[in-house]
Amino acid sequence: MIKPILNKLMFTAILPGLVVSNGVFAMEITGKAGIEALGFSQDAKFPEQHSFYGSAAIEPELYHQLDDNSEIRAKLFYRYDANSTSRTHGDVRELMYYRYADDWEIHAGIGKVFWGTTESRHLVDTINQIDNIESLDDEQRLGQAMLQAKLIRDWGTVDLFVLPGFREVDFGQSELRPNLGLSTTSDALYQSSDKDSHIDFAARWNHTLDDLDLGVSYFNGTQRTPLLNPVLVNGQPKLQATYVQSQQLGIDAQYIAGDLLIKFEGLHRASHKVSNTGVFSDYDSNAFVLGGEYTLIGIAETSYDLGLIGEYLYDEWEETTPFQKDWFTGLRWVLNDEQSTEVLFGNIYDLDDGSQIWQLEASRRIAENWKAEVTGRWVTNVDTNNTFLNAYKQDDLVSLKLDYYF
Amino acid sequence: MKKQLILALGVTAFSLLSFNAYPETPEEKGLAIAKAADARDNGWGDTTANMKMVLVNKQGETSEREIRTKTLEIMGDGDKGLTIFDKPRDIRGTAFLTFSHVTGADDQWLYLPALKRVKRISSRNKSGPFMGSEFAYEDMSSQEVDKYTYKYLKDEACPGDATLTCFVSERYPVDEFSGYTKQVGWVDQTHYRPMKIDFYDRKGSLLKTLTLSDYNQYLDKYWRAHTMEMVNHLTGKKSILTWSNYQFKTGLTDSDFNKSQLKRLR
Repeated sequence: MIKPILNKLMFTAILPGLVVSNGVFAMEITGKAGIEALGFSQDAKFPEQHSFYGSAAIEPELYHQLDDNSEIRAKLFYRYDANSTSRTHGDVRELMYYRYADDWEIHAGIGKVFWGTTESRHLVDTINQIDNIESLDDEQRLGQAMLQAKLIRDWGTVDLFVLPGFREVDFGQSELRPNLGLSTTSDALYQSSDKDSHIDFAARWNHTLDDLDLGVSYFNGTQRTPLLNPVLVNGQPKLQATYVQSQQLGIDAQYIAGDLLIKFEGLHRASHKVSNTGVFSDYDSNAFVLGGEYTLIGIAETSYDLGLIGEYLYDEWEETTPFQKDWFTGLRWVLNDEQSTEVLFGNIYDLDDGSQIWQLEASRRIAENWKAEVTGRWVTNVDTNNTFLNAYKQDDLVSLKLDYYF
Repeated sequence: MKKQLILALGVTAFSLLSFNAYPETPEEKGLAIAKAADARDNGWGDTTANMKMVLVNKQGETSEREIRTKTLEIMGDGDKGLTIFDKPRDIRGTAFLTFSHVTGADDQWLYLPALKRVKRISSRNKSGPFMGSEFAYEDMSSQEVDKYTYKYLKDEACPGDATLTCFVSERYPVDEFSGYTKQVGWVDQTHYRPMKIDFYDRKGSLLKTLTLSDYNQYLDKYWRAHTMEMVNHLTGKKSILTWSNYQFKTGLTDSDFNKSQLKRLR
């Protein structure tokens, strides 16, 4: 008796899915899966750390069209690391309902938003929290719950965001490499009594005016970057991640002058600081990145392009970033070959204390659906007072990634 | 574009009328042919099409790319184009938006789906390879009369179809950032369709040859080549484009070519 009912239930549940996937409004599953080898050349700072981390990751994407004007997109991420429980982690990067009209859109769910222009730092890109475990350089972000309205007009595009819920930075456990050295307390400190359920708001206008692409953004809510407050827990020094309330105004711009791209990101924050005793006080600060990328096309009678990148980084808020007064030098070598080979070399030089971060990234398609990527990062001449770079001091690394796209 | 059409018809009519009366210079005749060809390809509104590109290296090894294109005809300026990449899979969903202009640089944006990022890019790089192929970006962009100056050379049997007679003309890119010093084109005299183009590099030597074939006519007027083969004489590599599923007047508007809509694409 039960079995036929179950069968019937299964059919009614599965059948629409099959019909939909074979019908006009298709369901598509794509994505990538890959392996990563992460190696460190120096002795580890902490006994729990390793010199090698081997892992596998999968990032499936689902697309389901509901009708001509609406759809659902999803992107999941999971990494299993054989040598690290911290690096074994997953995230819903996207699970979003989209509704489109000619000049407006509504998005509801979990998603990712990108704002910005510069190469060395994603300063104004605010909506999504950093995926600290996955990111060597702030390229990976966590999915954020949001309700977004987009208006597309002749005078520009306006995005309005309501952001319920906040995601903390995952600093990992002691076996994670690199890590900050002082373990973080399990409980973060929030300025808002709503803690991680504070509802944030954001808005952005962007437009193209001839050779200028300009964006102006506003954010009001829980600042994504935490302050790390030293506290004593049972007599042991620990860092407590502290999330303050912040209002910020951001500008991102790019101007095209022939082969030269001029890029700018600027931020004014009306934010807060926290004392060792947990008292919050007002703190305003400014930050910007200004620079350019000049591309030499077809160097030495080849089809190679060479991009020369220079950016000046400025930030008044020392507790949140190492980039107070820094200079970024970048070289982007694009081979324009069948395998889409690209090499990006970067150096950030601290103009105050001479500390340097170096990074080399290269990627190449090695077969029809396979891509290989190698990243190296190391620091040199680290000043003893540079707390951020000291955390990376014995952690020069090489990462090898091999991804299959399906 | 309308103005240009009237002008072009005027010029063709004038040149036909005056054919016996006044000796036309080769430059005037070359321009008149280009304008006549342009006039015949006016008013198609918008198109969508699928393209498969096969890259063949010297050893005969192949790799494939698949893209979809949407194009909107803009009267009085270059067309708007949207290219969506389906293969190779690692760049699936990447989209390339171009507003081409008759004079001055084109406006171009690239959408990178993994980063959800729309990036404005410099359009100076016309001479660079399109997706690692033997086609340069400028070969793929909207062809406008004013992008070149012209010189008619001779009449000759058409390459690929000897039953047709072709005009053979040279054209010289106006844009100083073009990768070419000149192109020699064979255009058939019946329908004004390009049949073959030789490309000469900055040093003036023959670099590439494009052969266009498998022409189909749409809306009883517009001819589209379904096979385009580009051979690089220096490297021995070639790239073959195969077009399919051409649709005309699909109702695309300016709003389909807004940079804010790149994230919607599928």
